Amino acid sequence: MENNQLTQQTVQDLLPQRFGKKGMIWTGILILLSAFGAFAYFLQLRDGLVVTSMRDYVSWGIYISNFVFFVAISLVGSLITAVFRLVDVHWSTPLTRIAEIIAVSAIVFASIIIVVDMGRPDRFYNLLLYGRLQSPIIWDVIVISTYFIISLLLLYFPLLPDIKFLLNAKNSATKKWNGFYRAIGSFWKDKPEQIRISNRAISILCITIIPVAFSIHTVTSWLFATTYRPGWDSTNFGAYFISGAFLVGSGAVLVAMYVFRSAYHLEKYITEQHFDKMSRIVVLLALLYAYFNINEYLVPAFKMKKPEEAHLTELFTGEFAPLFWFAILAGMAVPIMILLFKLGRKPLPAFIAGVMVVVGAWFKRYLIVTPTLLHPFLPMHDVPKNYLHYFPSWQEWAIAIGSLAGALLVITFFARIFPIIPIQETLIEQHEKAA
Amino acid sequence: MKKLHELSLKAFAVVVFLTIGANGFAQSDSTSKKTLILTPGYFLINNQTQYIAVQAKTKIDRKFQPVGNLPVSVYLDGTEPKNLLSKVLTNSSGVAKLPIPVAFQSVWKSSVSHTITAIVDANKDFDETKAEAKMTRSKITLDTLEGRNISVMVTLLNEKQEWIPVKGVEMKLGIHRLNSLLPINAEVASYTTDSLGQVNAEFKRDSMPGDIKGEIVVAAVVEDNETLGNLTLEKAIPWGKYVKPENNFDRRTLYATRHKTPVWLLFIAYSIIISVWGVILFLLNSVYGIRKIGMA
Repeated sequence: MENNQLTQQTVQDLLPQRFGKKGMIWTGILILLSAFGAFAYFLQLRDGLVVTSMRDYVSWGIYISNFVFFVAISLVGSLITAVFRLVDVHWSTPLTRIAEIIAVSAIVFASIIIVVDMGRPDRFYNLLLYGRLQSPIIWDVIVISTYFIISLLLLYFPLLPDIKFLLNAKNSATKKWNGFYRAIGSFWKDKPEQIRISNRAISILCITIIPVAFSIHTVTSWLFATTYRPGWDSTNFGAYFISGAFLVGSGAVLVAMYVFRSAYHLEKYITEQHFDKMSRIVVLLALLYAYFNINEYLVPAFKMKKPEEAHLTELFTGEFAPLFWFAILAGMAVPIMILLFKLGRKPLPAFIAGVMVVVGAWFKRYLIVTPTLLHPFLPMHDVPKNYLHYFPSWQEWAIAIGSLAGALLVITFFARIFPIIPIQETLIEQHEKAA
Repeated sequence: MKKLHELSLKAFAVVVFLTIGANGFAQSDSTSKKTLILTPGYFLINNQTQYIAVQAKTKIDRKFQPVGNLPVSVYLDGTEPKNLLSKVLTNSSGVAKLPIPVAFQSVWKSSVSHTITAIVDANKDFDETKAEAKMTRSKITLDTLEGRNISVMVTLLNEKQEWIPVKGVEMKLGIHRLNSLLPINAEVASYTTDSLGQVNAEFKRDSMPGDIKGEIVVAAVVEDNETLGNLTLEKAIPWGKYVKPENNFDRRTLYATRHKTPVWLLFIAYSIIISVWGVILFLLNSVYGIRKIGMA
């Protein structure tokens, strides 16, 4: 009887809820930003890439920085869901769906933003028809689409048992979606054979997604590392990118945990213990990423080869120094200092540290992509002055911000339609604890 | 008397001041100009092409630096206007080159020895500078002997228009490689002609990559000889190793077109793609299986 009541309460707590006033404002702002981004993209399509500040030298600006950021953040799905599940870590159960939807929305917008960077997106199909398998760009196209499908399946399989709760809910907040729920999962009847197939599929997915996740970001790093340029000519890039990706993804999960916990009053399910453990992971990953950063910058700085000198000097003490040190301090050093202390691992400080990690990570991607392009091996002579510097145009900012808002909008709508914490898995854990 | 003494002292002081002052100014004027070093030289390539080159350099920060864009007047056998061969500008390496003009061919042939004079007029950087080089018309020949030996002979033209051998001419023998001369014998840096004007040298470079006929270019080079100038003779000889040029065009390489992807890459890439997408298809089939069980 008590168990039944607990079950009903849990289901009730975890079912999607209508947006409150704050939710409506949040969604409205995201829609406005996305629409403004879409308008800016329309202008770019109409007038061409000339509306951007990208020129002969800086041909990869904030679009590609944004792309790398999205790819990086998408790796969190494989960490929280797959790695933790395979090593039998149960405390992460309430976080798996948050991580997965972050992964799916990020990978969708990574694909969109790469098309935005193309001068003639209508010719995209040529990449598939005539692409060369020798090119890392084709590897990226293949691996991104593969990762998207696997992430979607990893989101879908654990969602199936929750569909029945959505269909049975008396709550009017989900009623209008019933048709959609029926289409995607009314066939789930909790039959032992269904559970067996689903569990097997999830295990296979967890094993498959890890190498694919590593591939997606390694290949993204190779887009740079296979190009002979100061700042990119590194054998360290794959590991450096992956460690950074896990860090930004974990930071994003900290932020999302706090937001969903506050917005949906999930304090009972996303507890302070979750923040504590997730914060420890962020510290570990930040230290790991700091280690790769030291490798990435200290070794070339020690040698100071001529072509690297201008690039590194610009980063350490030149034009990009404020941004560089902000990315290092806000993206790694300060979050480590906050989260090292128990008080810092409480929800609010952990949320602040998470925000710093994510913001720092975005600027770090910008610093990986752009300064290198401003320091080619051959000196830049006889070019217009605006070729020598890069500051994104308003259209670029609008599109980049619009894409970030779009990714957040996908997560927001997902949380409006589906339970953001897996109901079935939470119930099973509750019953196991009770037993 | 005393007044006269004082007056004469003042006059002496004024004269001393003016002399020192004037000298001082003159000196400061001349020290502001740098010293220009001109080196004219005569060059004969393969006993056919001949030209004059003048090297201009100056010392800046204790280092010799070439002087570019400097007008140099080059004269032949005198510095009268009628002897002016041409006025040429030095290039960025500080070298001004000019061939012997056709109009001077008769003058050139009329004598076995000539004097080349290079003059740079005074300008804001340099005082007028003049330099000379003397040369005697000469010839260099190169023959191959049995057993991979090379014989080089240097002769010059005497007043009787006879070619006579020149003794004691130092020269280098080598193979043209990467804009430098690779000695034909690593143990001998240079050779000197004997009383017959000859140098006999053994060719000790085996398996040197040659051109498609297996030929290599051997050169005998006389540099900055006081009498002869600079002589170079090049000759292609078939002592090189035939190297079949490697042509990667139209082969399967990482930089080829999509239809020429390396097989190993195709194998690895398609193996991974098929494996992973095989798993995905299996999982999609699992969704179908779950659905089928639920609908039953």
